[in-house]
Amino acid sequence: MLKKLKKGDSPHIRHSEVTTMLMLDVIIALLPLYLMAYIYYGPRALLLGATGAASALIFGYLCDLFIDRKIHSYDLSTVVTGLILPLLMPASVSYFLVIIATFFAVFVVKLPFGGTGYNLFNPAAAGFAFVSVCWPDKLFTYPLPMRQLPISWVIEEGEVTYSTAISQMLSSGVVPDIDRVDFIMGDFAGPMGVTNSLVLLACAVYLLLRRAINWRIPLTFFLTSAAFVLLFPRVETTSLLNVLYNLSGSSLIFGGIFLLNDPVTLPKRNAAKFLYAFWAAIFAMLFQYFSAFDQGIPFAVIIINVFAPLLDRATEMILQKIRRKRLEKKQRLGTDL
Amino acid sequence: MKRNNASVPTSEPVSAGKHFIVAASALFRRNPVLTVGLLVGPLVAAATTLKAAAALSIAVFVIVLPSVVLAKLLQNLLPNWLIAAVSILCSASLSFLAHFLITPISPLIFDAIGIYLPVLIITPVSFVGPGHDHFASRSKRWCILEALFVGIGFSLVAGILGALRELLSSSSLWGIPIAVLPSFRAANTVFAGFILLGFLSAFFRSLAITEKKMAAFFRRRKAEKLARNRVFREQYSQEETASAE
Amino acid sequence: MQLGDTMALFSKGIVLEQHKEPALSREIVQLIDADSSFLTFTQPEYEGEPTLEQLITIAERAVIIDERDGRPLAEKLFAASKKQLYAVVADAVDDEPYVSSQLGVVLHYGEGVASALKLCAQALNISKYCILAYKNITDLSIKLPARIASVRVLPIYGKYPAENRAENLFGPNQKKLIIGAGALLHLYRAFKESRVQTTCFVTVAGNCIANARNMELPIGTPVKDVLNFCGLALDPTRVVLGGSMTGRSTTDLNNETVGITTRAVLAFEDAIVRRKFNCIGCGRCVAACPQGLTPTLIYRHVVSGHYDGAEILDATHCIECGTCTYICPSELEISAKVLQAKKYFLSTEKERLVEKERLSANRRAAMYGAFNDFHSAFSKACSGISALIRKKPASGKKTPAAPKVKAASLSSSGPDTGSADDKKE
Repeated sequence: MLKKLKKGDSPHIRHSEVTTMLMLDVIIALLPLYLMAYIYYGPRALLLGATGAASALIFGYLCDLFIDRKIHSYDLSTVVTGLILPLLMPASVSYFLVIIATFFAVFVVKLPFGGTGYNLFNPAAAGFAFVSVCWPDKLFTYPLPMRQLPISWVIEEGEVTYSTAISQMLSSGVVPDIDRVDFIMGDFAGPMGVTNSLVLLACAVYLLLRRAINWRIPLTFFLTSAAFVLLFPRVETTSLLNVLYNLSGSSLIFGGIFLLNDPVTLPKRNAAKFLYAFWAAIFAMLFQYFSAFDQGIPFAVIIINVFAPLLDRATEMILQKIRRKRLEKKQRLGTDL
Repeated sequence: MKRNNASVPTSEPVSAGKHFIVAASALFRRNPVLTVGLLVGPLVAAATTLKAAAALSIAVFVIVLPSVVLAKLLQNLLPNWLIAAVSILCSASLSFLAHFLITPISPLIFDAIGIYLPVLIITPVSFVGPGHDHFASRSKRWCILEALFVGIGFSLVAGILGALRELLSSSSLWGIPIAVLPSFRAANTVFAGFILLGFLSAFFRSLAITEKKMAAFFRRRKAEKLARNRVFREQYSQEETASAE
Repeated sequence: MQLGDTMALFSKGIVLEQHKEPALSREIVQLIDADSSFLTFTQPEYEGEPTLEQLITIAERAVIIDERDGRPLAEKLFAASKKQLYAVVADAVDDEPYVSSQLGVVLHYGEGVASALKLCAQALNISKYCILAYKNITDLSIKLPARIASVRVLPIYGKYPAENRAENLFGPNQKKLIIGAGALLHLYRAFKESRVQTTCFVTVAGNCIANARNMELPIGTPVKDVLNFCGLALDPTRVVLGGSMTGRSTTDLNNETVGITTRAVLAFEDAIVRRKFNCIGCGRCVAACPQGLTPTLIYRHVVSGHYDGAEILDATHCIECGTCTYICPSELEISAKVLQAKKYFLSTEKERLVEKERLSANRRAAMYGAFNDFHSAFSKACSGISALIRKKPASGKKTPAAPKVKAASLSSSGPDTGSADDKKE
């Protein structure tokens, strides 16, 4: 009768939430963005997303086989990476670029460091960075939205009309002249999933409510970058428009919600998270202002990822003093009998 | 004057074969670039094509190796500062010779490694200096052979790296277009070079670990076999004496 | 919010579903053992209310042991008389799910507990006394009264672990004597009927138990009898002695017995298949730890074997509440590893060296062990194939008639005890 009895360590009950559900929340939050990309660019956007997800899944399995010789992890963290990557790229990239980006993200950024949970850099940001350094001409030319793009493997010349993105206009000091309605609806040239700020904010609210994201990071990030833009405006418009153009014209909002909040690369203590988001915002704005590429956030994320353990350790040193003082006080006061 | 323990000759006589094996370990198991990090800077910065890698290896053979050998031979004979000065002088003068040898192959190589030329010249101090002697051979004469293997090891890694990067970035090898591969322009950059070097290092390390594992495993199997044979022989002799009585 | 409850503002800890019904509302079942249940002792002489010495004598002769900490009640009263205490408090804080043994005693035998509490307070000359009860119970069908026999029932709200919240109840300098509710009931019985304590109060619950109850059992009842009395509806995969968060699990049901500090026997069936996830650094354990530690970093240090950097993480402050493991979405055994680190940092230098040597031996064995597996599998395959070719039955690799003594020490399986687990975790 009692054959199934096994020994285990305390505690003996567990919360029902599992990692898979956490990742599923993030995937659900990405789906509205894919819907918007479908509205702007047609089925090519969805196919690009599917390619990213499928290749990420396959590469993730290969990664598991490499490390452990069996597939044991069913958490969807690689799939999340595979879904985030196409949203950072314009809809006119070829499927091959997406596959290469996922390959780099899994086999160079995740596998050598130990697989899921041990990577030092954000795989999506690093994958995008690699592909953008290899093919900057393909990745920073944005097609006009509200036109269906062909779903062929590679887009030939002349099939698609390109347009300059807001971020590129700002880099050259030109005030972007975009219709108000178009701007709010996200109907301007830019990376696939990044232009519609209202949908992005709704996704952020969903993730906050589901506790997949810490509120400290996006709040600090957006406040700091807005302050930076207000202090150092690039073009001559009203401050509000300046902030809006800078933040929603490039992938800053998307990066602040999906790239920066990757739990593996975050520092673990809350005080360190404030500093982390602050410096991430500074780096992101510096990259936006001074770099040759107009998407600065993936590079900034990679740089700040390096500092996460340092920030953790610094916070831990301070916390250790607080803890020891509390213990001393408790020992001095005595205990109940 | 500090004596470096690695170069003190041991009392027991070691066969020439063993000396050779120790010297040859500098090729794979203790490859200088991949395990110690010798000249990683110039390697990653300059070896972007196979031609450049070849030129760089010639530069290393001509500039670095003779002075490293000289420094090793002079060890324990002269004070350290004098050894350093002499070997640097030697490598600096050899760099002139290197210039004449390399220019017909790749005229621009000296521009590519231009800023790293002083690094090449200073390498003997870091390779044989006080505190870090990266030679494993016990006797000084065998160190010459080991230095040769160090050079060959470096050229091997430089060749692989240069070939890979050239294939990836411009689908050619030694300037001859080979295959129609998608071109990753990033392979020319230093960042991709370091990543490729990291993977190469991991691969070599896995070979070295597998070799160690196999050696340990077969050693243990041999010991077990010997022990079992000994036990059988004892048993047999016991049975013999028992049957004799 | 309680008076002086400074932790409530920062609110560390987790909200747990208590699952205290149906055990709490039902009557406490008494199991009677003919030999021991009616032992008595001789009362000391006193008129009216007993003095402190007489009360201590009663507690001593009745062999009353407090179920909170396992200390004799006589010793606690004696120690209390030496200090200036602010209050005497009856402990009915059952903040772990499924456990309700103290709360059940208070609900069903409340008058006895209250009178004993008043006796202690009068003997110690302390004016303030009350009963502490945990009130964050959502599935309660019985209402906890505000007063029991004119003794106030002070509620403790808040997340698990709630026992910490009782520390600063009256103020940082005002310490109190806490006595378990079961011990107080036994004191009342000793006072009124001269009975020796021979029983203990235990909750039997869990999703495998058909009839969850609070029970009063003779001390030393085997666990198997306890489970059989309440009935097992499903086959349990885990039997726990103690609370669901801090208890220990056991597989030897015949020889394990119930003691005074056991307080609960729980039988669970985990229907969920546990998969091996990695730590993703979500930070839920950091947010939940009531001591303010970083459990995930301690876990990583222990798993990789590098204890040296973990000094700053203060693993010795751990109070072993188990919230980190409960809330981890990757289902890692964090609490066990933090305890390992705590043990390491509390041990002497020699013990630490032993531990480090054991870890490096495990690592070496794992490295060679993997190749051994591969080689043995490969050679088995080769011999199988060659046997197929020769069409003869494959002979095993065993050496016949070899004396076992010497061969055992050189067996080709190598040191593989527990190394695989250590490496994989």
